[in-house]
Amino acid sequence: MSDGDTQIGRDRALAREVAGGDAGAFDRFFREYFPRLFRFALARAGDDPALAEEVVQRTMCIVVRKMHSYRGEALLFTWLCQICRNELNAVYRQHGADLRADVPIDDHPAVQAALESMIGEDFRPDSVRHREELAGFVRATLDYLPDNYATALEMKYIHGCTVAEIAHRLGVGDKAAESVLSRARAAFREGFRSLWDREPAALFD
Amino acid sequence: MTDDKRQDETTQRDDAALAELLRFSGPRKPVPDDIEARVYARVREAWQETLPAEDGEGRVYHAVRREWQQNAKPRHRRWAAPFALAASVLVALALVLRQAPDVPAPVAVATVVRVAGDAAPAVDSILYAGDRIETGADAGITLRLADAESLRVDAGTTLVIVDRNRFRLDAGRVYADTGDRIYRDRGLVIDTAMGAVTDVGTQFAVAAGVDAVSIAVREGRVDLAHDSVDIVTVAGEHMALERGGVPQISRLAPHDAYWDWVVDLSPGFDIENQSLLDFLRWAARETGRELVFEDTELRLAAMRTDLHGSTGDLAPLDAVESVLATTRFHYRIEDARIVIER
Repeated sequence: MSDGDTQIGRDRALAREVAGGDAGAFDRFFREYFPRLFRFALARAGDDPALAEEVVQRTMCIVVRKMHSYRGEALLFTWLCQICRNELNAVYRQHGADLRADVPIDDHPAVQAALESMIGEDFRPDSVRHREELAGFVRATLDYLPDNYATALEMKYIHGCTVAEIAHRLGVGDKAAESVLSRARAAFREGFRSLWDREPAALFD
Repeated sequence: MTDDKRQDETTQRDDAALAELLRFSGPRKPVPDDIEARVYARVREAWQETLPAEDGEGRVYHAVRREWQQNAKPRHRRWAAPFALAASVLVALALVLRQAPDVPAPVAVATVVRVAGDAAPAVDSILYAGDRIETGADAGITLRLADAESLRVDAGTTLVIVDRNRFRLDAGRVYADTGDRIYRDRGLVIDTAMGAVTDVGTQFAVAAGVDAVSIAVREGRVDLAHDSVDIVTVAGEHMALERGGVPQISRLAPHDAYWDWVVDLSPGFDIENQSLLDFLRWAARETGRELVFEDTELRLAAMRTDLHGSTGDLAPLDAVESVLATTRFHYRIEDARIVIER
């Protein structure tokens, strides 16, 4: 597998292009990561959109300034999330408040590791049982997936779209859309199984 | 029960569970458009601040040049347009393959992406180091080089491919678009009888003959190494030099009619699965105009709009007309700008 075939490889290439002044790459970077990072921040900012906006803006400004230093030690999204956490801490300190005590599920180190492991490694985690946490985990899992995977899963299973509609949205043929769905299911299942130590189906037994 | 059947049942059960899980959790929250627009504008500004500032150098250069031009003795003899040399000679577009017999192994350099007039090399032909391109009076050819750089060969031109990033212009005129990236591993070099022309990430045209060369720059900067001196031409300038003379500089807008031949040889843009913003950027770049949106939200909407289909061989502005007709976007041309509006 070549470097460009992996998520890290694609992240490295994108970072290089953004740092190199490629406007198209900057837009791809923003389109890919802003919505995910905003939701990440919103969950940690007490659902305060103004605070999430401030933190995400600070985070992304830092990242584009440091983009030349990205070497692919972690996924680009992981890097963004780490900086976002630091910025959120800084904002809370400025306002004389502590971070929320109820840390979101994907701030748990084990969960983070499992989310990243969707692209490959095994992990046996602590389990989380709460329904709201489960919902939060499912949405965070979607955000860690490549955008086209998450979109395909949402369209199929939440909105009930046909494969043809998904293909149209993704700008691919029907066969390719089926393939994306298949890989998306596998990636989601893998992340889920790593965390819960069981198949999704086992929850509904 | 067979293994296949058992597997099918497991997959169906798993699929149903996945659906239930996702429906239980609900869709991810969408990001409000106004927040996205504000963050985009600020982050983009931060990103642009990280890019090397060419303006400072450009300002100094122009100041020095103005001073030099005021003191230089004007020359009255005009050089003959070299691209006129071939007009009377060649009728058909001709490609003479691999003239250099001692080339050890062919090095693929370019792909033909568009042919105008009589078409000797077909579209998609591969050209190699050592190939010579000769275009007739009514012909032209567009090549795609490595890194997606574009090289367009005007009518009445003789061009030899020396290497992957080096060409020799014996007569006529070529146009290079080496992309808008600021950092590149190497520049494109075009050798002429009057010296080597090297680009610094730009769009430019070179016309050359035995005793004259001219350079027109739409974007970026081009250096001509001539008699141990680098003559620099920057965006919006046309430089003409005769043997034994001094450079004559004039203004040339990036959307001037001078560039029409370049637009005629545009390689086109495959819109399938591309965003509207990328397509509009291409059209603006091809026509030498600035792309302007009424506001940031409109720009983001263009970024989120994916295109499908084809614009065929339409000229860039015709393609814009055709594509925007299928969207909620409108546009107007304001001299040097393409303005996108609701």
